[in-house]
Amino acid sequence: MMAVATLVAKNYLPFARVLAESLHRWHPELPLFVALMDEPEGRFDPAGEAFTVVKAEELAIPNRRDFCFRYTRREALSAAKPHLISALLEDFESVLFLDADMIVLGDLSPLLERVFQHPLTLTPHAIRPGLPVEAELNILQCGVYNGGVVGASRSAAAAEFLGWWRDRTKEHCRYSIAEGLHLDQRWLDFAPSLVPGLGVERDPAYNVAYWNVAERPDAAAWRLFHCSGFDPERPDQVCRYWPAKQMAEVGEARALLQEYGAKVLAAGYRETRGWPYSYDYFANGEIISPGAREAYGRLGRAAGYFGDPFGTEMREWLAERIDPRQEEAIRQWREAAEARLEKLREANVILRDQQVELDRLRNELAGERELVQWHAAQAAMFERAAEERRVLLEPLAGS
Amino acid sequence: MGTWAICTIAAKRNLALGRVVCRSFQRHHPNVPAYLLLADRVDGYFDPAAEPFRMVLPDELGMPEIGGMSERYSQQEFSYALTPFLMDWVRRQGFARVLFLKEESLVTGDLGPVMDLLSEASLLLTPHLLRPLSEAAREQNILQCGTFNCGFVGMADTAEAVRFVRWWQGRMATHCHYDPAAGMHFEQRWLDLAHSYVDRVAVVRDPGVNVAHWNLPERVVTLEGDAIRVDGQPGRLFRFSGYDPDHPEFATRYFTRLTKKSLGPAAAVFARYHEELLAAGWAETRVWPYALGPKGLPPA
Repeated sequence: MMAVATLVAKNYLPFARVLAESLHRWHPELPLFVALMDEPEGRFDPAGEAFTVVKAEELAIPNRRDFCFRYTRREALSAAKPHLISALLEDFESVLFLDADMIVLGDLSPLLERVFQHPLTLTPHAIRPGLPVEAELNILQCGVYNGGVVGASRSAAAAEFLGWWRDRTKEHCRYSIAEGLHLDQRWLDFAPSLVPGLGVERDPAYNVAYWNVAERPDAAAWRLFHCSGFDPERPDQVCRYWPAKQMAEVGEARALLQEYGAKVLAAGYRETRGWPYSYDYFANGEIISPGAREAYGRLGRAAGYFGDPFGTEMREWLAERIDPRQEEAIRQWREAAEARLEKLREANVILRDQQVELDRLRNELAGERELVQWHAAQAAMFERAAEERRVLLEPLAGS
Repeated sequence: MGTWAICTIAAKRNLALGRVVCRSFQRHHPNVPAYLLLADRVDGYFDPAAEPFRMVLPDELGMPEIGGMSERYSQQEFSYALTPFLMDWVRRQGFARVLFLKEESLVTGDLGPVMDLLSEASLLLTPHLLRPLSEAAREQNILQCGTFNCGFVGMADTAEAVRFVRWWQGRMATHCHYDPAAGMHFEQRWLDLAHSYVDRVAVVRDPGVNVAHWNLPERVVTLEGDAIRVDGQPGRLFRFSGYDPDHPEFATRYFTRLTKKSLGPAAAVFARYHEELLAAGWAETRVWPYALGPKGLPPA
């Protein structure tokens, strides 16, 4: 028996509704579990949804209040993934986790079969050589496997891997590429090392997304599409993570994304998108600033002395230490540093291109020099011949 | 299953290392050819015919891409970048399976059982870790360097292996740099894409293979006379990445917490390697100059 699972904060509920509808059109037999990494706050009725809502406290995240305080929404949604998969494996033989911004377009049976047969199944971002080098480097920075599709089947190997992954995402589910971190995703690069019998799904039908759609132009073959980074309110932009990517470059995905956006809006996105993320607020309703989150992260074990981090004691302690002017200054410095880094990267790429051009010119120059030397040798030869002729003709000149 | 060969790469200054890996290999496999690609020029410093390997020069690989590489890259980058070019060249000499070993290695046992994995696979890779570590920091370090180690890479003569190695060559022509933030770690991080591009990748889970500073803290090395065992299995290949014979008290310059004292019985393997290096002329070869490398414009 298999379960399909996804994770949302409540503002993303409409994405889960669209996923549920498309999943059940093709696989009415598969139950969908939507874990809410958030508090419902009475804004919707879980019983009225076409899926089972799993509450945050049902995920068995150890020290859950710490987890929710430490992480931003995006981080928490990523870090909760191995917990959700592990929790569902207690009741189901197999679990297929899908990101909420996915849509099922066809029969998933071959993928489900692979999930059944392997302790862990992943989909790589790239499935064959041919991408430009920049795209491959980007994949190496973000992780070889996409975290949007994770299959697991009950086994010792899966339990061991998931246990380790849960442990790593307890504190190391951050976005810091230079440190080798990209939320939960880069940890998956260890899967081939740690999971004997890993299933790697390289069929182009699954997890089609902005990063691979150019290699997979045949829309009729798509079975699972990942609308990663697509904003239903900006239907002309492919992906918020890659603003330069143009709709004109994605072929038939353009119509698909726009239709998808309309479905998400129809599923209530305009209503839900403003719903607050509960773990962005202290118990008294005051917002937790990014600086406060960072300061908390640096506390390490000492954080445990404060009791519930959302409570009064932590709020007051942090407020004393977080100077809003300092926070603003840090934010500006960080922006400036990132802009400089970006410029340096660009300069580096230009430098490398120029190096290649220089090599080419150097080779050309070497060829030119040979040619010049040949001409010079020819000229010298002719000059010698002319000189010889002059010497021969000289005695005759006077006669 | 067909014949096989091993190959390694060294600049002249590392020739003694190349001698040690080839000689130690031949002790266990006297009839398997060993090739050494000299990522350098000979310049009369040694007699290739008298060496324990068949020597190849970069120009002899017959790959036009290699032309500009030696001038674009440092000695280390150039040596590393040649890995896929050499592997495919050896394959084209008529071998069904090719094993690349990085030059700072000592073969201590039979590699046959590991090579047998290639009868069912296209690529053979060794992960840095076979089991999770107790702390995240060292794992993060591995994520920056690449999950597979590039000191032990095998290929079979299959279409998908050739496609992979040719793709790797293309990357090596321009992108063999140390730049972890950009997703690069010389030739090694590219191997993380092996499972993306190749259907049949064999992952070596034998603890006796590629024993080195990154896994020695977790592996148990024992000695029974001359025989080395690792986690109870025969010790087949030890790696000495970052080992400096001038500082034998450290196992590697990359991880100074690992000292001769903390190595336990593995210290005897390091001592054996140390002796073999000296006997292979390390003191002499280490000062031989690197003849390639970045140049200015050609003289007028």
